[in-house]
Amino acid sequence: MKNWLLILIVLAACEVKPVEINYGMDQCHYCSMTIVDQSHSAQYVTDKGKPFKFDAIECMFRDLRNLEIEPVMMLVSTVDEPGKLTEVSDAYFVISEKIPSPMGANLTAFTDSTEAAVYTGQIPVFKWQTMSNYLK
Amino acid sequence: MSRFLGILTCLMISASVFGQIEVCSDCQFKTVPSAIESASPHDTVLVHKGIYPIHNMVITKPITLRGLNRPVLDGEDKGYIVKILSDSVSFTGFDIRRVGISHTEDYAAIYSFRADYLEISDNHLEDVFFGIRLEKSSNVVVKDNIVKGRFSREFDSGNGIHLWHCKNARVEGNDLSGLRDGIYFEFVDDSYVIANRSHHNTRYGLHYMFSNDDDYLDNYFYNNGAGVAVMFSKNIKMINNRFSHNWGTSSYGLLLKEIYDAEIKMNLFEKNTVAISVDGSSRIYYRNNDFIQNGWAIRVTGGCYVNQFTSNNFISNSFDVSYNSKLNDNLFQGNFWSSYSGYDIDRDGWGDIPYRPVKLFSYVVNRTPETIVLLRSFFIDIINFSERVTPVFTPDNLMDDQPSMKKIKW
Repeated sequence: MKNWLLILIVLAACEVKPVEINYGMDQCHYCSMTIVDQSHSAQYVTDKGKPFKFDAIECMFRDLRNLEIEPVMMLVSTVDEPGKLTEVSDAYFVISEKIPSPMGANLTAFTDSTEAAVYTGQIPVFKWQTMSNYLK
Repeated sequence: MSRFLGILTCLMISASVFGQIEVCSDCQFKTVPSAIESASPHDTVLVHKGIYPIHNMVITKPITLRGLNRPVLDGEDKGYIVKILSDSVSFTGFDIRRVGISHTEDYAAIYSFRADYLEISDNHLEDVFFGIRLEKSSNVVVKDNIVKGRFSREFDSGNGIHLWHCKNARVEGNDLSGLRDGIYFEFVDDSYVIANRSHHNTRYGLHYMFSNDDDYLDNYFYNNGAGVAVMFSKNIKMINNRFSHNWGTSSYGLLLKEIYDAEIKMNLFEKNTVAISVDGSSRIYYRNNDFIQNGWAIRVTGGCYVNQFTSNNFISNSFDVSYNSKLNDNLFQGNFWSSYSGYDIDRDGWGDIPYRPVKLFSYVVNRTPETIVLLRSFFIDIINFSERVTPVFTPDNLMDDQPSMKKIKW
């Protein structure tokens, strides 16, 4: 019984899941800035369950280029639901001067594609997979 | 005498050409926008004491707005308060309160767009989201204002003085607290930040991004999330500032990230977790700085080349210098190190044996931060000593071969 409990605890420790971002405390893994913006932060989690936090979506995107293995989870905060992390596959992205982002790429995520286009008036609204076409 | 008369006539002409309009509860004009509406360019609008609910007031002509006995402009949390869209506006002596909060709009108490030659001085801003936000405006002066945010930790804090795409700005004598960044410069060139106090801000006291040829002098940064961040910028001069009490695991007095050709002179760094955190920054001159009682005085990560550290005082820091690579291309010379244990037999004022500022233990701590609990243990003293005698992990040319015996004065 005791052994089972131990195994359970060990397994729980390795669980791959995102952690909460402590705004105003945590540092961006890529640019070392303190993370404060609840509508632009991002996070990925590796297969070993290690989370990496970012102050801006462009920071995560640029950091991923140096990464050999694709992380298991990639999450972004969105402007329409700030403070909540959304899977990148469910998010829609825009590059618009109307919403400046922390690292100057003006890249913002939305959970709702129509809202993204209506709010920023910016076409195209694109998905994560095609990000490299828009962001250097 | 004739000169005096000349000045007098000039004054009289200006008094007659440029009118003055007063605003108060029993004046002809009872609201500020109505007075601005009927003012001619270059008139002065004098606002008497009182409380004026105002939001989204747009100024589209050159005008001088002056508050007498601190009239209050209350934004009632509705959005912007004053928007300046004209050159040559002077805005002085107001109390401004309650700016609206939004995730998608950066509401500010005073906002300008494409407006040059502005003067914004002696205003007290309270409960702001963004305080003073100037965009694409050049030759602006922001002086002697007090900006207070809402002292909240999270999303509802903006920046105190936020400049975006500006040139020749002068930010002087302001007091900034309870904000995200006290002062934020993004794409701002040829500007000065002088004698400001920036404290109790969530993120940075002062923040530069993509800004070149700027100077900041005589400022005081304390109790911020982190003191100052200078990122992706060139030719920044940092002189005679004071960085203190920036404590926390990810906190530092000064962060340098991807910057080139900077000068850091005569600054005081006291009681910070990391005094200066340097990442990928080259050709930086550190001279006559005092590093007193910091966790780390200088923490170098990433490639940093051709940096010079001369005539600085390193006093009572847990770690003087920490490195994460074996390569050293930086010069340390003529500094005073309080933990230097050498001698000066020839009495020329310089220590006879070199000082090695990088301790082996700092590598261990870089790898595994938790080991910091062993800091004062005997075991750590032994490994630091053995590394000092025969350097294996630390760059063997990383040393000050002319350490000063006395604290350096300038």
